[in-house]
Amino acid sequence: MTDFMLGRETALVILVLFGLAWVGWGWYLGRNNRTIEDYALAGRSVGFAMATATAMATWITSNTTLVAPQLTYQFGVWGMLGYSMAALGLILFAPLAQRIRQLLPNGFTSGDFIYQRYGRFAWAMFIIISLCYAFGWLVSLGMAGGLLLSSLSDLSYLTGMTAILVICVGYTLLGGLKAVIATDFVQSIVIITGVVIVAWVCIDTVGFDTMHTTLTREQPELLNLLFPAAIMFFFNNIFFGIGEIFHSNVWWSRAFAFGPGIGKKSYLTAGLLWLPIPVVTGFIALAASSLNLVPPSADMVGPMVAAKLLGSIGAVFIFVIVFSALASSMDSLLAATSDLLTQDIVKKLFVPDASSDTLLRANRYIVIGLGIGTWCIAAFKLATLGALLNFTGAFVASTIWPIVFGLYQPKLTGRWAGLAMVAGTTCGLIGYFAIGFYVAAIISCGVSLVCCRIGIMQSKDYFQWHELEEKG
Amino acid sequence: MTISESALTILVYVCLCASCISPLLLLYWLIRDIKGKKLW
Repeated sequence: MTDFMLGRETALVILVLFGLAWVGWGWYLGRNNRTIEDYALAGRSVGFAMATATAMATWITSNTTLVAPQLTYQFGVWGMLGYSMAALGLILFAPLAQRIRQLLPNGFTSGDFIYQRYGRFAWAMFIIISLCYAFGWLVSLGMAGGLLLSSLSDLSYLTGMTAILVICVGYTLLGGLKAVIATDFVQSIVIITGVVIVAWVCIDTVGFDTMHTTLTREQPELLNLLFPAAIMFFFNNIFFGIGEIFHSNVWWSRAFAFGPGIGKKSYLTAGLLWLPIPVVTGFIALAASSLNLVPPSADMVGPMVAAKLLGSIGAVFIFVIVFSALASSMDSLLAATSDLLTQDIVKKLFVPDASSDTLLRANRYIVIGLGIGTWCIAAFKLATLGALLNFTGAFVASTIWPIVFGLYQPKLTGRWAGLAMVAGTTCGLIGYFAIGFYVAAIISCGVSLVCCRIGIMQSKDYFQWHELEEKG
Repeated sequence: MTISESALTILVYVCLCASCISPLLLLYWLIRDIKGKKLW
């Protein structure tokens, strides 16, 4: 056991306390859910504070708290700056959220929009991309839960993974989106306060002069502003982040759930408040060499520095922060993916005239099914899943332009939107294998843009926006 | 070309101060929404 690890009993006590609090609160919030709108969209009237906090908390994943220090440790200053560029996804989604709410006041999912705007072919492409991404992210979060909680404590991989899944499935099942959003609020406060305390102690203990002098002597590349791979990572991360947010039902379902006029303000505010967090979580990695720390793997640099600075309290801090970061993303993903499966698969393909009660029941079964499915796959501990998520950049970036043009440009047709997604993904994957992970999203986004522009130039169609409201 | 100590200090302090303010802002907006009955 190393100095950044918690004992088994302490870790179990924290998990049980969190579990009881979250599941109990989820039940309390969900006791008045009567319709599918109450359950899946929190009654479509979420206020500004909850809306902003949930957007922030969902975007702070385990990656933000562990991979930001890792990237800083590997790519230096560009690593933390590149990671913080993912905030652009939230900021640019702000006007789209408003437009989505205006065009589809009764919409449920991103699939609803694509189906009504582009028809079946583009919808099929989009749903394949969305479900692959959502399930890949869900499984990787389950695995990250097991791996991280077992690396930060004496718990086994299976115990950590099972605990985080049971807790998240429990409160999402009982409380629906309302429980997800309310717990996200508390989690966002916990995460930000935790990382700020660690960063202040780091500055107080090590200091910028010592950190800079040690890095200049021992790892000067981390201070280099002309580090080519790091600069490519910086730009790739912008497109990856935008693609992840623009296509994912996690963000669309929130656009439908936020009260009228709230979506644009809250996404913009959440993006601006999220922007500095990766720098705060990432920069502590620059103190590693000043503290004479050599992490066993790069992703452990954050916990090691925190534990060295704060002692055993640091280990508790990191455990709680990582748990909150994992739970705030996993609950959102469970809720959004179950909505997508309920509305786009169950309702559209199998039971078009399903009642609200039937959909509500189906949604709850799907949450349980997703939890069990995730557990079964994550239990295999496939090491390749981490790599799998890396090339989802090629998939999600291909959806950026079909969504943007779909919302604002009436001339793009479903055939070209579908082709843009297929061609973008294919070329992005070729770039991923031929060049590297850091170009997949850029290539995919570029090819998709070219396809969409060609489609618009030669189109004679003109989509009438009011058709969306009528169909919705 | 490397980042100077002062530039690094400014960058981190600006981000740290912004991160300190955000939980306070969220709590302020929460209280405002509760008082205005606009929470949900």
